[in-house]
Amino acid sequence: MSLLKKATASDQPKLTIRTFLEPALYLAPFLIGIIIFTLYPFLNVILISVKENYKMLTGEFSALGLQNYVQVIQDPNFLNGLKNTGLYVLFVVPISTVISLLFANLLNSVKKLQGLFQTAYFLPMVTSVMAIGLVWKWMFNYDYGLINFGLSLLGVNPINWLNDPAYNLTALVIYGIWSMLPFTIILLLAGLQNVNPLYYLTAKADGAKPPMIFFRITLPLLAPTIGLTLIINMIYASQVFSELFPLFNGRPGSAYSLYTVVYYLFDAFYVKWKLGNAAASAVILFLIVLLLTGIQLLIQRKWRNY
Amino acid sequence: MQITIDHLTKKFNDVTAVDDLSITLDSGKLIVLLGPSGCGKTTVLNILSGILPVTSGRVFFDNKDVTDLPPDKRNVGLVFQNYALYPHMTVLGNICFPLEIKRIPKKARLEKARELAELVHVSDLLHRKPSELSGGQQQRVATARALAKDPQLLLLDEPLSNLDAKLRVEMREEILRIQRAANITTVFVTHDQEEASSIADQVVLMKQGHLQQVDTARKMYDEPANFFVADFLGAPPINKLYGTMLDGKFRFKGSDVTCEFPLRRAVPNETDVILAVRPESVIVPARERGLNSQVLERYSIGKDELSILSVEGQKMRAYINGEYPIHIGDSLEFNLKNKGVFLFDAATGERLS
Repeated sequence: MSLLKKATASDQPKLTIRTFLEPALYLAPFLIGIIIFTLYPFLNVILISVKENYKMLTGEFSALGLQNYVQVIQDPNFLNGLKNTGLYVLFVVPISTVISLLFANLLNSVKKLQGLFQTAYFLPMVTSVMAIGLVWKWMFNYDYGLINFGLSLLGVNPINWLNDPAYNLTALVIYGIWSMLPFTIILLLAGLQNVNPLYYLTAKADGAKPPMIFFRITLPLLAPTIGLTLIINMIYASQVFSELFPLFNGRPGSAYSLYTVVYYLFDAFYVKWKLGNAAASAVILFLIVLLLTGIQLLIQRKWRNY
Repeated sequence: MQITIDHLTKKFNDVTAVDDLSITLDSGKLIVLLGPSGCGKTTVLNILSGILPVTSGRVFFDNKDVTDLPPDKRNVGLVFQNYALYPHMTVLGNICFPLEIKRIPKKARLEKARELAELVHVSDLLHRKPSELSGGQQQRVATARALAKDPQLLLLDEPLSNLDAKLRVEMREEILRIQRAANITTVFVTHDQEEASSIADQVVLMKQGHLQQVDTARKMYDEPANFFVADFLGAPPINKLYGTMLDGKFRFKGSDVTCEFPLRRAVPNETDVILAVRPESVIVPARERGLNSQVLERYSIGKDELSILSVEGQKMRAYINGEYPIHIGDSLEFNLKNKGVFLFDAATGERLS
């Protein structure tokens, strides 16, 4: 035992300036980048959020306190944004995951031209949000849109997706689900391709039918990957913002009713120049996402099955 | 269940994996498909399980033609080299799963699983996950799972290759015990001739898609059909002494020394031949006038000594009784036994004596 301790102690080089500096030097490029572009802004945002009446140009503020938070929480636009973002996340994340699961499974079973199909599904990921948004804007068009045309074939009256505030959120959610698919499909496909095909072979040889194989073997083995996509997509969806621009000409919905948290932040910062409010809303969003991610991780730890 | 393979051929594009194979595997026996890698033994196994379709030929289980039946209609149990235990299920869940697929009621399923767990000695591990099991335990569970649905045929694809040497010996005895207890026709694929010899009722030896010999391991060792069989079986491998035929006698290469063996047919002069001698087929001291050799090296192996001799300039391993005093550099005269000494045609591998 004492021998063992001795061995491990002598394995560890003594901490000297040299043994500290050398690794530090290797880490420096990454660390400096993180400090300048992530850590400093992050801490600064928290600082600004507690500076009352903060003026960006002069750096003056009247007092330290929670006034910004009180203002934000009492602002109906922020509350509206919180509600819309919540609904957006609630619909977009689960629905896009289920659809992606379906497509990933299909892609995984395609034998011929798999590369071509995978590329096709991944293509939206490398196309600009604005370009795709503009295409969707046309698809949502009241008079000429593809979606209303499809609905008319089913005997449904045309819906004014983009100009009737009652349907704005639905349009945004549909677009959001679609834009979430490529990344989710790729992640799930990678997960699927990691499943040992012998599991399927064994189950099939025992007479298992495809639904049983999917629910009893594929799904449990894919659970960790699904959990990962849920967390990533939730974080991404809670920052919904740029999707609003092409659809509603840069406004938060046709009647300014579709505020999201990040749109509120953008509005407070760039339009109203209330930097304190913007910072406070960012911190609130950060805390909510942190909380939700924590809860998900806890649930997943209970799920972990092998 | 008796298995009949009738003129089976399997091609993968241009490569012929199995060429016109016809064999009958006896009911209730443990049959080993043996051969070097790429000989087509796993292909045969996959065709028996129904995973691979045949190119031509038929497969019969008893008298039923199963050639076109999918795996789940053949009632075969499969064990793969890496076991493929479902990692998210417990041992119990794994053994139960084939029964669950068959919609057998839960109570009957658990009863059957416990019974099988008892058979393969994993009763105390039922609630563990596969990742918490050792290799040998995983292999036991995989066997139990394969037996769960009462298959009429158990197929094992290199089931011991992932285990260390000691465990391998232990587990092959276990597989034999389980096979006897379950009394099920079992086909076992391996490339290890020692493994095959130790457990097989019947060995099917293949090379490059061609059947070489079907026999018990003992008979295959004692009466090899051709040079490949003689060379593949046995460790240390059979000695190969090269020479040519001269007036019906074997003449050592680059030497005038000849030996006579009872030939099966007349062999023309100057035919290149191989004199194959099992290391244990050497008689020392010589009882009559024999072959001369020189001792190059000697190793102690248990009660015997394995010596390396030089015979007419060719190296040869021989087991020599440890009590007989020999030293490196000694000249040694020896005789050959009748058993374990064969003459083969060097070009075709045909057995000549």
